[in-house]
Amino acid sequence: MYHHVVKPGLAEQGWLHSAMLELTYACNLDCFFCYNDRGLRGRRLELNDYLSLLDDLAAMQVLFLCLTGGEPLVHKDFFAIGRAARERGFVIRIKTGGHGLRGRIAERVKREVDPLETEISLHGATRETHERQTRVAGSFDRLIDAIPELVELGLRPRFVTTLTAWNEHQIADMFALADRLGVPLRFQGPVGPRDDGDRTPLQIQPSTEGWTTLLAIAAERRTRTVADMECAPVPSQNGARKKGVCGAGTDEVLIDPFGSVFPCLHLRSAAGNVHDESIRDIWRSHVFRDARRLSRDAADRVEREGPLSILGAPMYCPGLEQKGCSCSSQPDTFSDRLTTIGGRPSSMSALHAHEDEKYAHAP
Amino acid sequence: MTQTDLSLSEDVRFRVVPDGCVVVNQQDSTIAVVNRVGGQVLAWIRDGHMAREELVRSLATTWGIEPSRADRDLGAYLDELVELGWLVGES
Repeated sequence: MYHHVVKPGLAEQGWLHSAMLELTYACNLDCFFCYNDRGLRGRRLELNDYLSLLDDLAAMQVLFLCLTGGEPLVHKDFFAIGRAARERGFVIRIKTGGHGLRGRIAERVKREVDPLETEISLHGATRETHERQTRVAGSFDRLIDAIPELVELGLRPRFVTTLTAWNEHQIADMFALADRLGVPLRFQGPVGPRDDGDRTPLQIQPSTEGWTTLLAIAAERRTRTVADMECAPVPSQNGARKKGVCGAGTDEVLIDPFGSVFPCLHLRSAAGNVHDESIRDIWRSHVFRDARRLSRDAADRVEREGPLSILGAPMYCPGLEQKGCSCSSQPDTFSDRLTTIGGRPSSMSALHAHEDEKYAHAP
Repeated sequence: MTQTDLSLSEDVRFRVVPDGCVVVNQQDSTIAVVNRVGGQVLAWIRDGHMAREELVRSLATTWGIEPSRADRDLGAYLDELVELGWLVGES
C-alpha cells in the first residue's frame, strides 16, 4: 500500500515527503572521494533557523528527515536539532562516518534523537583499505569496535559502502564483516565529481568487473544495490505510471549548511534559500518543476534506449550526466544480474484492511 | 467520563497525507498506511485528546456518523493499535 499507492500518490500530487539536511561540511575523517564543496562560504543556518525549518517541514507533513554532512555529529547544535526533530515527530536517519559515535555520544544520540537508523560509511573490509579512503589512522578499528555497542543501544546501525577501485576486491569480505557484526550492508555508487567540479574522485571509479561481482553477490544475498533504487513511478502520457529511474524533485529536498535548497544530491542548482523564502514556496519553484521533468525524461529515455549506465554503474542519473559524466548502455554482464532483488521493508496492512466504506468521504 | 490509559508509543511516527496516514513503527522498522480517519485518531491521541468519550464525540461529529457506531469502531481500532504496539496501555 505505501510503496505502490501512497508514495507514488505523494509524488504525483506534489507533496514533500523527505528532507535531507547537510548540517555541516566539517568532518573528523578526510575521505579521498568526499563530494562536499568544503570551500563553499555563506551565511550558515543557525539553531533558530533549523527550528523554524523543522516547524515548516512538519506542517507540510514531511515524515522522513535525514541528518547528514560532512559529519553531522560535529555540528555544534546536532543534539538540539535532533531533539527538535524528534519532538516534531520526524522519522530520523543519521548518515555518519561513525568516528565519534561511541560511549556517551552514542548514548545521547539514542536517548535524545532516537533515529530509525544510523547509516555508517564502511570503505573496506580491512584496516588498510578503509583507512586508505578515510586517511585517518585508527578509524577502522575505532569503527568496528563501536558497532556492538551501537547495536546494543538500539541505534540500528547499517553500513553503506561506495564501491570503488580500492574496495571492489573486498565485496564478499565486507558482507562477511557486516554479517559477523549483525549489521546490514548496502552498496552505493558511482563515485561522482565533487560539488565544486573537481573530478579527482573519479580516479577510483570501480571497474565493470567490480560492479558485475557486486550485482552477482547482491542477487545471491537478495540485497539491494543502486541497481534497485526505489524511485517513485512517473506518470506517462496516457496517465498510467511507469517505473521511475530518478527521484529528483519528486518528494525530497536537500538543504545545505547555508540554507540553499536542491532537488537532489547531484542537481546542484539551488531552488532557493530558506534564509529568504519559506521551504513551502521553494518547493513550488520552477527548479523543482524542472527536476520533475528531468526525472520523467529519464524514465522515457530508459524506456526508449534500454538500461543505461552512468560512470560504469548499473544505474542512470541525469544529474551526474549534467555534470559531464559519461553515460552509455549497460554492459551485457549486468543484464542477467538485474532481476528483481527483494528486500522492501515489510508492510503492515492490517489496518488498511479495516478501512470502512463509511469513511469514503472523509476529507 | 471514562479516561483511557492509552498513549502513543514513542516508536510510532506518522503523518497524514492525501491518500491516508503513513505510520512508521521504529520498534520493528515497519511502515504502514491507515486511512485518514485512523490518522486523525492517532493525531488526537498524540495531542492529548485522550478521553474515550471525547474521541467518540469528535469522530462522530467530524465524519457525521452515529455515536454508537463511532464508539464500536473506535474500540476495535484502539484494540488493534494496542495489539500492534502503536499504543501502550489499556482502552
